[in-house]
Amino acid sequence: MYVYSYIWSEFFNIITNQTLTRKGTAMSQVRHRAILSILIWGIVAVGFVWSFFSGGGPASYTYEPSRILIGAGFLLFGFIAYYLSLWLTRVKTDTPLIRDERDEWIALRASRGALVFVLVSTLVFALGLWIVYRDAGFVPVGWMWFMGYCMAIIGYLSQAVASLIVEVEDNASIAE
Amino acid sequence: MAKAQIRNCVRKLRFEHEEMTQQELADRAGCTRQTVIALEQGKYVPSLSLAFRLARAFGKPLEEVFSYEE
Repeated sequence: MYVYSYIWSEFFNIITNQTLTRKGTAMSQVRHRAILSILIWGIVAVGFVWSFFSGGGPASYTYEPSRILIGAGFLLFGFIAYYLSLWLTRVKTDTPLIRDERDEWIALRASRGALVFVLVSTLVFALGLWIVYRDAGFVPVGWMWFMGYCMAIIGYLSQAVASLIVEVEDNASIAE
Repeated sequence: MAKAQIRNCVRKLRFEHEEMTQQELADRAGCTRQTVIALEQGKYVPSLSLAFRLARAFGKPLEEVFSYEE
């Protein structure tokens, strides 16, 4: 019981950015947003993959409006939750400074990395489809839905993961 | 992060200003403490705007806080 309450309180602290470091400063906005984004888009990824592969996979996906709606629902949830999290973690005037120009620089570097990752992922996925279906001469259109949705999800996820990695690495390099 | 060609004496100036803490300097210049640490270690080159704010926090002209080395 104690473990569960500890985990929940830590989770709540991360969500609300109440976690204080040893130095007594709040988590940076870049790290906070990255953690929230990973949580949100992780849920969307699991939900969409489940809705896509349950009940037939790509071959029957486009013939079942309910699965398309469920997938779209997960994506809609992702966008709403993501932009809500950006609003909730905005810089406020009455709290310690959690973002400055160095954080902008970190976010920019993370965006560059994420862009390359999305482009390479798209290329690899398209090549994979070609290899698997070249003998058949056609690709089930369900895979196009899958690729489109996945690239949107991977775009946000990779941006968040890259931000977290760059931010943690940078702060580790200047740790006293 | 690339090694800075622009040197600074932020750390020295902090101690000359009644051992101002990194957090105090960060508050005065409008940046985070992590940025002050990175600056002192030469791992971050500030924008012109932040450089001016840092110099102003010490009451010094820009060229007494930062110098360019080729």
